[in-house]
Parts: sequence; structure tokens; C-alpha cells
Amino acid sequence: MKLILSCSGGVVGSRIQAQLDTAELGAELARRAEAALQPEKLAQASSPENPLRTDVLEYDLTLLPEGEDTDFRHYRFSETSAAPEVLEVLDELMQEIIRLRARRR
Amino acid sequence: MGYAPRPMSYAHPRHCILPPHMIEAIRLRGDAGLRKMADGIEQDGQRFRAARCELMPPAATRRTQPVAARARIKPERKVYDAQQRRRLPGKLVRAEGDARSSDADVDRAYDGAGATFKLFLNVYQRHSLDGEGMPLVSSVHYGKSYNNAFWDGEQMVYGDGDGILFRSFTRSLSVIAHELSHGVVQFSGGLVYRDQSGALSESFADVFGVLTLQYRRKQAAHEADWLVGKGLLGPDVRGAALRSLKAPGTAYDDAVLGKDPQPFHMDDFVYTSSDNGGVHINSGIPNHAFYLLAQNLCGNAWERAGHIWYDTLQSIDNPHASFADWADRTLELARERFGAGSTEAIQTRRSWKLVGIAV
Ligand SMILES: [Zn+2]
Repeated sequence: MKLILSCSGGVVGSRIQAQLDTAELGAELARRAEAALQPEKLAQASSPENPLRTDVLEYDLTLLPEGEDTDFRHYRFSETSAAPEVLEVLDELMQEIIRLRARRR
Repeated sequence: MGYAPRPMSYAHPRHCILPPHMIEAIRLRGDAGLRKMADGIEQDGQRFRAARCELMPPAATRRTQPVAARARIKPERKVYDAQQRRRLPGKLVRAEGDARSSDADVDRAYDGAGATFKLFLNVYQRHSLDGEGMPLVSSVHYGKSYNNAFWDGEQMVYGDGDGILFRSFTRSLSVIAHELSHGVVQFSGGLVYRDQSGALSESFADVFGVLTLQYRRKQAAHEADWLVGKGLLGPDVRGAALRSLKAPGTAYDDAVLGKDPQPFHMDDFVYTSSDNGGVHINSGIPNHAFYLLAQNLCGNAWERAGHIWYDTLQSIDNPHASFADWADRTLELARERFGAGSTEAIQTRRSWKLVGIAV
């Protein structure tokens, strides 16, 4: 599964974006990412936002096409509208991105 | 002077179109039933034509009596452990009056909520976030390596940080007070969390975040560092804090985190669609205006400057306020409270001018 993940906002207000191929991650994380980042779960996350929340993280996720039958799928949602299992996988993916970049610092 | 919200009044659906800004105001300021109605209107895609309601404008906040005998008033704090899951609130680990726990994050969230409560009670006679003694609920250890803290409309939420970019978000009292101050904004009529009104919400939270810290340390304006989130950055991150009110744009400059993007002058206002229209970016402008006012007035920032800002939030009654609306109101209030030719009024006008806003 290839994807572009961007995480922005939060109390810090910064933005981190990267492209990932789950095949390059550990098999366990790749399996969980594929199970959690399913179109129906992500579509639910894009439901109307709670206007009272502040400093929440905003996610931009693009699932890249992998075969002739698939297309780009793009989702934009905040952490207060997504399911915990989706957020937990996104946290792990963000950590992979940060670790990688920090190593190159 | 203390204020608290009152329920909105509204009539049965009838003849007039509900514009998007009104829907947003209802979702921001209405009760649960009205919010549901507003969501329903949007979901149906009938924002501009089918919502035919005779609706009163969102209710203004109402003044409550100043809190009497405040020495007897105590906060009602509850701290939960989310146990590194992304589910709220988690397990209750410390309630009001309980002994210190063995968990530093739990105790910092508890103490930080208490320090913020004290500032608003002792200085502004406000009884908790809603002016009516609302319990202060916090969850710590939210998510795994979670790099954030937020206010969800009902409670504070703190992550542990990943140890690379950030350490635990409870380590900074200014961040704890920042999140609680978002609650004060919400219960004072609210500011729509987008563009300039959103940046004003962010700025109010930053200002009262640093004021809580200064009040606890009994630091005068010239003694303070004016940093939000000092001590949160990871060991190898180049920077001092999340933001600086004294020098917006200089808090960090790091290969992974990027550079602090805050401007301090309207000439450098950032137009962007991300971060809800740059709410954490352009807040640098009103942040710096407050810093200049406090610094030029000398003494304790939570006193004269703090009162002008606090009273502005209580009385502006405009969820879509722009920087200019806010600045105008600060000057009116400085004149009302201290006199038209007072140092406070003159310095208020000057501070806004220095960040590029003429009042
Ligand atoms: Zn904030």
C-alpha cells in the first residue's frame, strides 16, 4: 500500500508530510495499516466536524493507485472525527516518518 | 467582572434563509439540539435554500455576578489516564482532593489546571471555564508517542510526545493553560476557529497561557520570557519553545519541525488554507500587540493589559471578529476602564499601530 500522509495543525501548528510504502515497514505494521486504512473507515472519518474543538490534528491522506482498477483516493479529516483504530495506525506511520527524518538530521 | 453564556433563544422554523455564517455560529454557540440541527442542515446540502427558520442571532454572553468569597471556591479537577489509546476519557486516576499520584503527568495536569483556575478566579473573578464552576477534566497519556495537546469542547487532552520532536505536553504550564483558555473562549461566546477570528482564539489562549505562568511565578512583564511551550521540544530540536510573544517567528528553526512561521506585523500576514487559515501562524500578530502593551505598561501583565484583553473577549460578542474588530474593542475598553487620555489607552493604540493595525 502506497500513500501520502500529511499531518498538520495541533497546538504546534506545524505540518509534516511524506510518501510511504507500507511494504518497506515491518510486516505487522503494514498488515495493521492495510486493515485500518480502508475506504469505508476513512469515508466515515470525513464526517462533519465538531466546531468546538481546538488545536486538533488534521490529516490529509492519499492512497495511491496500485492496479489498473484503482484510482487515487483522497481523504481529509481531523482526529476528532476518525475512529481510534485509524488514528492509532496513523500515529505509528507518523512516527516512522519522524524517526527517518530525525536520523538524517 | 465575570460572564457566562446563556442558552440561545430561537423560534420555530419559518421563513428566512439561514446563511452559512449563522449555521457556524449555531454550531459554535448553540446547545446540543441546535448544533445537531445545524449539522443536519449542512449534511442535507440545503444550507442556502431549505433552512427556513426564523432564528434570533446567537445569544450574547451575559454578565454574572462577581464571584464573592473566592477563598472558599475550589476547582473540581479530574484527571484520567488514556493508557496510550486514542479513546477518551480513559481511567480516572486522580480526582479533586486526592493525594499526589505516582505519575508526574497526572500531577502536572492536575496542578496546571489548578494554576489556571486560580488566575481566572483571583484576577478576573471567573469561576472556572464557564463562569459557573464547570469541572476541569483532563486526560493524559493519550495515544502512543502522540505529539499534541488539544481542547475537545469538553475536556483537555495531552499526549506524551514521541521523545524526538516533543516531550510530554504536560511539561509546560503555558500549554496546559492555553488549552483551558480555549474553554474560556468557548464559554464567552466563542470565536469561529478559522482565519482571523480563529487566530484571535489562538492568541487569547497563548496570552492567558503565558499569563498563568507569570501569575504563578509572580513575574513582572519585563522578567518573563514570553514563551509558550518552553521545555516541550525534544533534545535534538533546534529551538526554545512552540511560540514567542516577544519575538514571533523565532521560537524554533529545525530540520524536521521546520521554522516557526509566525509573523509579528500585518505586512507579513500569511494567507493559507491549511491550519484553518493559519490560526497558529497569524496569532503572532495579536500576540505581539499584547506583549508590547504589557511591556510598555510595566508591572504585572495580568493586571492592566490582561484586564483589557479579558474584557474584550467578554464583550466583543462577534464570533467572526477580525483583528481590527478586536483592536477597536481593546481601545474602547482601555478608555472606559482607565480614561480616554490614560497611559493604558495611549499604549493600547500604539501597540496595535506597531503591528500594523490602525485604531
Ligand atoms: Zn490553541
